[in-house]
Amino acid sequence: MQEENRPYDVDFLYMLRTGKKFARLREFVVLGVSPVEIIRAEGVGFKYHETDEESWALSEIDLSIAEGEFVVILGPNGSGKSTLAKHFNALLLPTCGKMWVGGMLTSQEENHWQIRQMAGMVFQNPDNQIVATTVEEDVAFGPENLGLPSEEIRQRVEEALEIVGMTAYRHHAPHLLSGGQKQRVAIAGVLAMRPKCLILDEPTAMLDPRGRTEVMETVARLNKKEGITVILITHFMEEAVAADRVIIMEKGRIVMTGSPQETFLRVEELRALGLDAPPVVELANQLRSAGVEIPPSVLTVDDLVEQLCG
Amino acid sequence: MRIELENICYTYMPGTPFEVKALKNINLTIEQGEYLAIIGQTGSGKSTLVQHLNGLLKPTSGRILVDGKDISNEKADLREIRRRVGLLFQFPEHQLFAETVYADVAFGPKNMGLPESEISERVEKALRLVGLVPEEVAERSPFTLSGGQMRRVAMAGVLAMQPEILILDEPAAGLDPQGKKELFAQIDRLHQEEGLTVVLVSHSMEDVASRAKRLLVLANGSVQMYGTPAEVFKDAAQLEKLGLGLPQMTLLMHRLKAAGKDVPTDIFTVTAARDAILQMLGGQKR
Ligand SMILES: Nc1ncnc2c1ncn2[C@@H]1O[C@H](COP(=O)(O)OP(=O)(O)O)[C@@H](O)[C@H]1O
Ligand SMILES: Nc1ncnc2c1ncn2[C@@H]1O[C@H](COP(=O)(O)OP(=O)(O)O)[C@@H](O)[C@H]1O
Ligand SMILES: [Mg+2]
Ligand SMILES: [Mg+2]
Repeated sequence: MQEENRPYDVDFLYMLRTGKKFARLREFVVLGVSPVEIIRAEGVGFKYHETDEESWALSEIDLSIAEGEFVVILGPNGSGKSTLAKHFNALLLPTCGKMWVGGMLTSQEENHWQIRQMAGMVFQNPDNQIVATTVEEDVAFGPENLGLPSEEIRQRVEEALEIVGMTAYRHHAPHLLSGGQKQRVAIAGVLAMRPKCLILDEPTAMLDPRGRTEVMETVARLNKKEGITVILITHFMEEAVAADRVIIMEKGRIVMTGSPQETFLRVEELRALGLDAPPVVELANQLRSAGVEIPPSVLTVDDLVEQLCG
Repeated sequence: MRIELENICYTYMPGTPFEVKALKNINLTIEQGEYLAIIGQTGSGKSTLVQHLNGLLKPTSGRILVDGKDISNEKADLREIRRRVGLLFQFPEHQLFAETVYADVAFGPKNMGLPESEISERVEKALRLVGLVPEEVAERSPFTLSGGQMRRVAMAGVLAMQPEILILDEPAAGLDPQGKKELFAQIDRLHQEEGLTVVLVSHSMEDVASRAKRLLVLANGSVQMYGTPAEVFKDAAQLEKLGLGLPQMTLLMHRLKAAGKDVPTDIFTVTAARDAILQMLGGQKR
């Protein structure tokens, strides 16, 4: 048992061999510190029901995510993204294979409490996540369940609201907030648990452009400033360009993994999976085909403007 | 068919502390055969507005004329109007209820009192129109389908009424890129081939920019902007202020222009942007 709980190191070989630009990991290498693995899956398979005829919702998932990484998971509807995400905080347990979070095996029930504190989830529909009548109480809900002293709870709530920029709304009723604000409150609720890892399952799917920007800026800040590991599931390709690494799923399997720039150059493969590159990357690809020189590092409007006007 | 809204106001829970003025003095004419998109932030009144178009909500003040006839008139046949104006709600998959896909899609035509043979004909046609194969799905429970398929079943239910106007309230939210593309291709085909008038509610600028002929921008229950995509997207600052922004390609062109490049800004698609940039670069060399 002790053996199984041993934390693993991230697969440096893979990284060095392929020369991937995982910003975080490179930082680790340069600084000479060893990254700590927060999530590891080995041969994970999952079925919702134990019947033979049902197909596997996940098969042969091998994965390693380092603390501080920003990982985006893409894939068509039904490809297993949500199922995998629920494995990251032991809401679902592998049917076969093994899953570790913070070095703890998810299949051991005595680990669940700690795992769920370590890895918090935010879901698509903000309305289903509201539990209290004021923003403050809503954020306090998790820490209260941990049985923390009230001074500690107050402090955590304050801090979490500050980080997501919702302090001014602490006494407001959550159901009257905009979608983007509700999602930020949901994120604060998770932050108040002091997690190491934040898992967001299509958090912007129901939001308007401003709401999406608010949530994405909050998430990026959490990752860069607070060093929280972020795993983001989305259908918006533009949201993937900020990631250290993109993982693409299809039919329960991981079919592609790499940096955003490398991933979005694989236009044909993406198209076969029913995905697109973000519009700017698609444009860069088309310009390249027409003979214009554009480096693969161009992923955003800013990058392209600089390239064309610089 | 032509729908005119004259000075429409709508207030939820009037006279209570929870009163919300959701629509304020809306004037709008929807012509036969057009493709209109309604955009605006969450809470701007889009869903409230479209529910007026088929008489689901009655304006607090103002008139709605369908082919010149006032539908708030007691004598107006709302059943007939709801048949002719098909409305696909936001997250329509939550409203599926029947045991089988067939029964769900047939619900509307059945209530119109059509003969069984015509019902089955309509169900089959509607399922095909949304890209489902009737033989494969008709007898299945809608709840065993994927989210994208469920949404198509809901749309088939609307189409089976053979409406003249199709109103879609954020039909692509939560769909994957492929599902989204297919859905819009179907809507475009219905518009072009079946001649349906389309009213599309969306908060994705990318989705509306290249398809709608006119855009109506709502904010706080009032019309803020109205015109062709080229006209509306010209005013980037105003859109930004309304929390909406530009399609990525349009934003790019605005930025290039601001940096002193000679490029058009009424550009919405990757292909158009590519051509404009190639022309810009060609011009520079010379
Ligand atoms: N509660 C459930 N019971 C049975 N099957 C499910 C359940 N949830 C998801 N599935 C199935 O598992 C597969 C993966 O689904 P999901 O993880 O939700 O995909 P995604 O999040 O990528 O859209 C799909 O085939 C889906 O139908
Ligand atoms: N059933 C309702 N009762 C009370 N207020 C409502 C109801 N539906 C919508 N509203 C309010 O009316 C305004 C417009 O809402 P809605 O038409 O749903 O906007 P949108 O579709 O643009 O998001 C919002 O302030 C919303 O909170
Ligand atoms: Mg999902
Ligand atoms: Mg709405």
